[in-house]
Amino acid sequence: MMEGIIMKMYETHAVVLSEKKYYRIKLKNKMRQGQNILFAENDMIQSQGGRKKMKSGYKKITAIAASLLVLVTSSLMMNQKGYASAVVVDINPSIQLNLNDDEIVEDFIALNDDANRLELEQLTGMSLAQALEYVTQSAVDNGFIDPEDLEDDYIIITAVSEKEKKDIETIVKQVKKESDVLKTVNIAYTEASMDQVEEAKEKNEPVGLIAVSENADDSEILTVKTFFEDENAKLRFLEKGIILKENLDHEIDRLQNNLESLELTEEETETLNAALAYTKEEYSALVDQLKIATDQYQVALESGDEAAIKAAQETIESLEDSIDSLSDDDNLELLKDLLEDTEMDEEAIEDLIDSLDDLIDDIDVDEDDSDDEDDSDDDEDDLDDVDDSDDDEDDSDDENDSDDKDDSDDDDDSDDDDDSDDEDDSDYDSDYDSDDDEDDSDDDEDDPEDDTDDSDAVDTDEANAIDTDEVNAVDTGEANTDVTEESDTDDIEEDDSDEEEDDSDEEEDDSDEEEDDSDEEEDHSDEDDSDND
Amino acid sequence: MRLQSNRDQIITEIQKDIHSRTFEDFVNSYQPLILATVSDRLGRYVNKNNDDAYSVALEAFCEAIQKYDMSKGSFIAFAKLVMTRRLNDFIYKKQLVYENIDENLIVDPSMAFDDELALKEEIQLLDQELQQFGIEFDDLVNESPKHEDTRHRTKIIAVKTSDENDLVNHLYKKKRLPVTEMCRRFMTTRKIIYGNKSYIISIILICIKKLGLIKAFI
Repeated sequence: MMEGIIMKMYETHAVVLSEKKYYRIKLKNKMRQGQNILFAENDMIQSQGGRKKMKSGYKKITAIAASLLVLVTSSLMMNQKGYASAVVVDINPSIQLNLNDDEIVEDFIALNDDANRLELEQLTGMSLAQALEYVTQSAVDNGFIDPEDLEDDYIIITAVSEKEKKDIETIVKQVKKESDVLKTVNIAYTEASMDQVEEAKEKNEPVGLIAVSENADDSEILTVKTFFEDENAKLRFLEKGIILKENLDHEIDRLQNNLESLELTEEETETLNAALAYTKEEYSALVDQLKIATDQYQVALESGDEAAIKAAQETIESLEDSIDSLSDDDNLELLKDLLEDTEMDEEAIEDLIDSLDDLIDDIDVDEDDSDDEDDSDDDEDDLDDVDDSDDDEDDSDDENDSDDKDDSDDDDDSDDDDDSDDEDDSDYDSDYDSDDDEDDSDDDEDDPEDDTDDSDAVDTDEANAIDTDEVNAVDTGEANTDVTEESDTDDIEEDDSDEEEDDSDEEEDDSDEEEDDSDEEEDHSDEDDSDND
Repeated sequence: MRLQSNRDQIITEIQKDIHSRTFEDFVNSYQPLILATVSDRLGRYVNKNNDDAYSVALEAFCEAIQKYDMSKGSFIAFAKLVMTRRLNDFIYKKQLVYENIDENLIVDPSMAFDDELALKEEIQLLDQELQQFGIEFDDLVNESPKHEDTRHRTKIIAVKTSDENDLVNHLYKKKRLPVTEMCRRFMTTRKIIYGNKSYIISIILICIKKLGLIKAFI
C-alpha cells in the first residue's frame, strides 16, 4: 500500500508521485489533481521497461542489447534425462541445448515462440561451438539482432552444472574469438542452477537474468534486451559473470557506418572518421601483436623453456589488457552516447568537433613523439587535413585542464604492423538499417566508478620479442563532458504503454445496495445474524 | 496450507487477547486488502486523510477478526464480506441523510480541503514549468531513477544545483542542465546527471519555485 498525490490525469491513466517516485495508476472515479490517495500494487500500470520512442525527425540512433544465453543445467536433473549438461541460448529466441559428455548437442528445446521461427533441426549433432555460432547466425538472419546497426548486441551465456563449467567457459571464449558472427556481438557468460532454469521457464524470462538477479528486486527483471541497457544491471551482471566484448574494429565500423545519420558537414565527418580510424588502427596493431605473442607462446611451450613460456604469457596478458583498455576508451563511449541519444543541434556539433580536435591534437603529438617508422601512414594524411582547418579553435580549450584524464594506451609497434595497415582501410559493408521506430535511451542509473577506470596503463616492456613504445594518448576529459552537456535537451517521447482501459465502477445507487445486501446475507448467514445487532 | 493455518493461529491468538501487539501488526499487514475492498466498493481511490469509508472498512475488518470462526471457511472471504456489508450500510445511511443535497458533496467526503487546493495549485505551477523544458509528468514515470540510492543521490545533486544561481540561470536560458559544471562542482559523474536529467530538472524546479507541499513527497 502506498501513499501518493495525483499529479495529473491523462486519458488512459493518472500519474501519482509517491515516495520520490512517479507511477502510473488506473483511472477511477472522483480523482482530482492534488488529491492525496492510498493505492496498492494492483492499481499500478507497469511501464514497458522504460522503452521510449523518439519524435520523427530526430536522429534516432539506438542502443540495443540483444542477448544470447547459454545455460548449462545441473547434472542431477540432466542425469535423469541422460545428458551430461545442457545449454540454453537466449537471443530472445530461447533455445535449450542438451549436451553429452563431449559437448555435442544431443537434443534441443525451443523455449519460446521466437525460437520456433528458427530452423533448429540441424542443431542435433553439432558441437557446442558450432551450435552457438549457428544459433547466433540464425538470429541475425531472422532479424532478431542486427550487428550492423548502432545498437550493442549482447549475448549472455550461463552455465549450470556441477562439473563441466570450466569446459563450457573455455569453449565459449574460444568460439567468441574465432567465429565471425560472434565477434560482432557482446557475449556475457554466467552460471545458474537447475532451480533457476525452472524458475525462468515458469516466468518465461531469460535464465541468465534470473541467475544474476537473484538478489535484486524481482520487478526489475526485464527482457535481455533492456537488461543490458542499464549500466547498473551490467555491473550487477559482472559480479556473477564475465562479459566478452564485441571486437573493437567491428564496433568502430558500426559507428563509422552510422555517422552519416548525423547531419554533419563533410569536414566534421572526416574528423570523426579519422579519429575512429586511428583507434581502429591501434587496435589492429595490438591484435596482430597478440597473434604473434600467441605463436611465440606455442613455440616456447614446445621448446619447454620455462622462462620463455612465462615471458610469453606475460606478453599475452599485457596485450589483452591493452586491448581491453582501448575498448573502454571514453571517446568511443561518448560518440556512441551522442549517436544514440542526441538531437544534434548546432552547439552539440560544435562541441563534438572541439573534443575531437583535442583528440586529434593528442594523436598528432603521439605521432611526433614516437619514432614510429611506418605506423598509420594513411591516417596522418587525414588527420593533418582536419587539423589545419580547425586550428583556430584549439586555444580556447586549454583552460580546463584540471578535468582532464589521462588515458595511457600502448602504442605498440612490431614488425608486422605493415600487414595490418593494408587491411585497415575502412571498407565495410555500409548497408545498415537505421532503426527508425524504436529507441532506447534508458540509462537509468550509472555507477560513478565508470568514469574512473581510464588509467589502466599497460606495460608491455617485459615482452621479449616485441618493442613497445609507450605513448601517452588522449587528453580529452574536458571536451568529453562538454559534448555531453549539449546532448541534454534531447526530447524523447515516451512510448505510450498500452494500458488497458480501466474499468471504473459506476457510482453507487440505492437499489444496487439493497440487492447486494440481500445477496450476501445468504453466505455467512450464521455469523451475521449474531453480528449485526 | 501452512500459511493459512499460520494465519488462523494468529487470529486465534488475537481473539484471546485483543490488545496484543500482534493485533496491530496483523491489521497493518492486511491494509492492502482493506484498501482494495474500499476502493472496489466505491469505485474510487481512498483518500489518505480523513476518508470515512476507509475507517468504516477498518472497523469492519477488526470486527471480522473477532467474529471469525475458522470452521466456516477462509478468513479473507469472510473479512471481505463483513467489510463490504458495512460499507454498504455506510453509503446507504449517508444517502438517507443527504438525500436532498448535491450528490457530489455526499460521495466526496474530503472535498476541497485547503491543503488539497494549495497542492493542486503547486502541481499546476510545476506542470507549467516542466512544460517549458518539454517534460510531462508522464515522462517522469519512466525517467525517474529506479533504485533508491540513485534517487537519493540525484535529489542531493538537484537540491545543491537549485542553490546556485548561475546554474539555475543556465538551466532557464539554455533549457538544459549545465552538466559539466554540475559534475565539477558536486564531484559527481556525467552519467548520473545525464541519465536522470528530467527527474533532476523536476526537483530543481520544485526547489526554486518553493513548492513546499510537493517537496514533502520528493
